[in-house]
Amino acid sequence: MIEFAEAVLGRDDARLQAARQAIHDALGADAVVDSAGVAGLFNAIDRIADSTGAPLEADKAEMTAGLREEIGIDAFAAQKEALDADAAKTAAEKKS
Amino acid sequence: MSTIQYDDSAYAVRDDLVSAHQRAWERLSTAGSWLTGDERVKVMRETRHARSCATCAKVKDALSPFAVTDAHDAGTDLPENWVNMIHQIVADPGRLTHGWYKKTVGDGGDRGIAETHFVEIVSVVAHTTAIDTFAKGIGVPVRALPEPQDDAPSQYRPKEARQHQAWAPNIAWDEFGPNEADYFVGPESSIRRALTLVPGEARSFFDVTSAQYLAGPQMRDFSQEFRAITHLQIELLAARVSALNQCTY
Repeated sequence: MIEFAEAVLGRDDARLQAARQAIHDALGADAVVDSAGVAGLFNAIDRIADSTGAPLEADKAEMTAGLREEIGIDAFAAQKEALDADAAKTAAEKKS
Repeated sequence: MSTIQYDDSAYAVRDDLVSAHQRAWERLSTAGSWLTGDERVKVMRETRHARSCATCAKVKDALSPFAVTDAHDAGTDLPENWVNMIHQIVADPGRLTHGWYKKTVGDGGDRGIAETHFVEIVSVVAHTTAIDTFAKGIGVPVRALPEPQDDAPSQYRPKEARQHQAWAPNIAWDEFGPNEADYFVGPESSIRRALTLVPGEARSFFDVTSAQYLAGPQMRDFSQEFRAITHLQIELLAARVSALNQCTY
């Protein structure tokens, strides 16, 4: 599943073909279709969340706090804050 | 003709999934609330074109996506600020910031994209991404774009939509009006609220969601499986895609 996710978002056709075949061999043809559906849907829904600033629900944030810190998701939010701070600093420097 | 088939696929695609994609293609080809059918199909074309844009590749590799000032390689005659917005969302969604949003919609005095139009463009990009990535996943070429229909946008903005914690205005789970009562069912969900400034887009995207992922009640029903992959496999796959996109949601 992880290999398929990485391959479908990548540009290596041979890798994707191999990942697709692995799912087919292990789980069957319908699993290829359903895996493609889920990967495609989340590749899109991530873009909705990230472009509209959809916040994580408070209960989900609380339930997943440890996991989010452990696997590094919190770092993504910190990175966004740093990017905005840097952009504000650059804009201020241009004005002065 | 605005239709989708997967007859060329080596894998049989569920009828409900084909039907959902056909409905989406039909909706994308017709006027939305704020964009004409012609504009919506151009947004679809630009979404595809962005995947091979050299500037987008630079943005993805840059320490800061906002440090790259080269013009994007436009594939349509859409306004430049629409092209920039679409390319940023396609190329580097994980590093979109609140500052980027405010600049894109013109907060602070610059001429920007109206928030209603912004949300509708996001929706069209998302629909196109979901369906194109699905095609890639099953090993078929992206489907031909639909022919734009010649009708007029409804210009419907729900009066209940307002600013909340998200960057874009939306309808709170307990504030919907009668026109949206069909949509606000089940447990509260931020992501289901995200497009509700343009309710038709929210409905349409979650119609695709039900077919490609799971319908709301199915997501929470662990007593049975609804797909050829288990809930656990679905969530593992979804989590890896979202991590690769650096999505914080």
